[in-house]
Amino acid sequence: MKWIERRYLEFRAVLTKEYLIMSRYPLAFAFFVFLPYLVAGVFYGMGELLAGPKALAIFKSRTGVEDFLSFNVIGGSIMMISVIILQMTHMTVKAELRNGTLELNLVSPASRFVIFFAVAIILSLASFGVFVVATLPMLLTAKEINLLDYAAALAVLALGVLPVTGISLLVIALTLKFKEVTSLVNALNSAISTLSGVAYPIAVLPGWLKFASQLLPTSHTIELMRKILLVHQRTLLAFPELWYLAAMCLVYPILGYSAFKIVEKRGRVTGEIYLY
Amino acid sequence: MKYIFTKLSRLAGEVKLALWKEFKRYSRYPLWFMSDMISLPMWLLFFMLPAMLFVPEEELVNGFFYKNFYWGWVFLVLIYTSLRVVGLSIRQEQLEGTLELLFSTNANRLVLFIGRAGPLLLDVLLTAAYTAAIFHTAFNASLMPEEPLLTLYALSMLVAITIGFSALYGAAILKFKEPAILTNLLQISLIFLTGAFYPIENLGPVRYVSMLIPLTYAVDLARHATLGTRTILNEKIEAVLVFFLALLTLTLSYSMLKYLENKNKKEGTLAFY
Repeated sequence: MKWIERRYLEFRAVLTKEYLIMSRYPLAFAFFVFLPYLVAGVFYGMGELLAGPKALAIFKSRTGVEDFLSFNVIGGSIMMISVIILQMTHMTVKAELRNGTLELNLVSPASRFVIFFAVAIILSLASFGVFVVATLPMLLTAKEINLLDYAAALAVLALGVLPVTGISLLVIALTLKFKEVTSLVNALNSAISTLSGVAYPIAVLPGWLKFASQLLPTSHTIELMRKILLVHQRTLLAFPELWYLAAMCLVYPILGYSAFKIVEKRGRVTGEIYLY
Repeated sequence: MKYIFTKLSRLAGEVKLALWKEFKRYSRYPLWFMSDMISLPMWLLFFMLPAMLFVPEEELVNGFFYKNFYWGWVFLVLIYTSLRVVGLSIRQEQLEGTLELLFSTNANRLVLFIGRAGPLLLDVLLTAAYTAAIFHTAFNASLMPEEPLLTLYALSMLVAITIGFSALYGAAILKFKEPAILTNLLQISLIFLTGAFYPIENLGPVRYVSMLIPLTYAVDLARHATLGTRTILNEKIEAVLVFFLALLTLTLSYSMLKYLENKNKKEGTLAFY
């Protein structure tokens, strides 16, 4: 019991600290909310430049998508979630390493896993908030979306965020091991943004890219969200994407945790965890 | 004659040293290279795949769409990369406190920073070749330029003009010190207005603004050489014009850089940032 209480207090302390740091930068989060609309606007403008005024009609006839803006906002918001969780987790750990505060945290009797896990969790919560704020206008303006649809979408989102949090544990492990992995995180984010079908149905991807896209939790989350919010399909359990996502909820956090444990254990022996 | 030869050999020595320094610096960060190899083609697909859905299916069959996007992306990456050459080098040296040391030497100011072009352009070349292979396997599209020699010429001029812009941007850094907004504005406006992915006629009345930018003509010539599109001016006139525009931009930016360096030295503000 005492053990649980201690871990809880540690978790709460890190959560509070990270929340206070994040609350210093409200504009960054406002930007994340705005970005899915910007991305939709860029794609629309690009379509107009390439095909003229009939661009949107062609897009509709080729994809069957009636609501271009909602289609893009859903994709863009999920893309933001992966950017926020992965990029900011890396930046937070890197800042602790650079500022020399990581050692202070690590010499405390707190659980090392809790220290890092709490960072990933607060960012996951923040990204959840970004999604809600970004999609709220859609909920208010679209006639056919009701609260039940939206609640189902949020449940799917909760499921979809978990594997991304698992990947973020891997990012933490890589940061602790190699220190400067910003470029790798950028590459990972570009792959996730491109292969998840943010602004197009995954079906348009060529064969091997389609396979790669199936390995990403964000692809299934976006697909499910669109089915619920745009096509109003409610029989969630019938969707294979849901089961893929559920499997990823197990696989990615376990992989991330294992990588973290290996790096942490080795770092404790060699002391490399403190180096920068 | 001897004077010119000595001048040229000194310049070659400076270029060699600048390239050596930058290759050494670049080789310290192999992850950046790996990241570029993954993310640059990924961002190309990120924009191209939705764009594909805006054009009628029959237009995709002849392969022009893929070729247009691939070469447009090459121009974009070259513009983006070349803009970083002088401007961002000055910024980096300013932040590291080494700018004063470099500016106290008698080396050519453009050459001092042009070394950065070496690794960056090599990076672009390798990524472009690798992306072409991906494109070919994924979409079975031929990406061969219509006129390979003219393509090389047009791309060299495009790089030269953009380096000129980069030096102007470097001069702006010496003047304004904090260039973040300027960087974004310059990059976005150059890429949007020069028509890397579309003919500038598609921009409507904004095309008159495009026609005032020297880079537009280099991009237009490069589009003509790679895709066989119509040029804004007569092809031969445009090829000559682009050469003179490159010369003009480089000379102008060099003078501006030199003037602002001297002004900063007189005012003692070179070290400020």
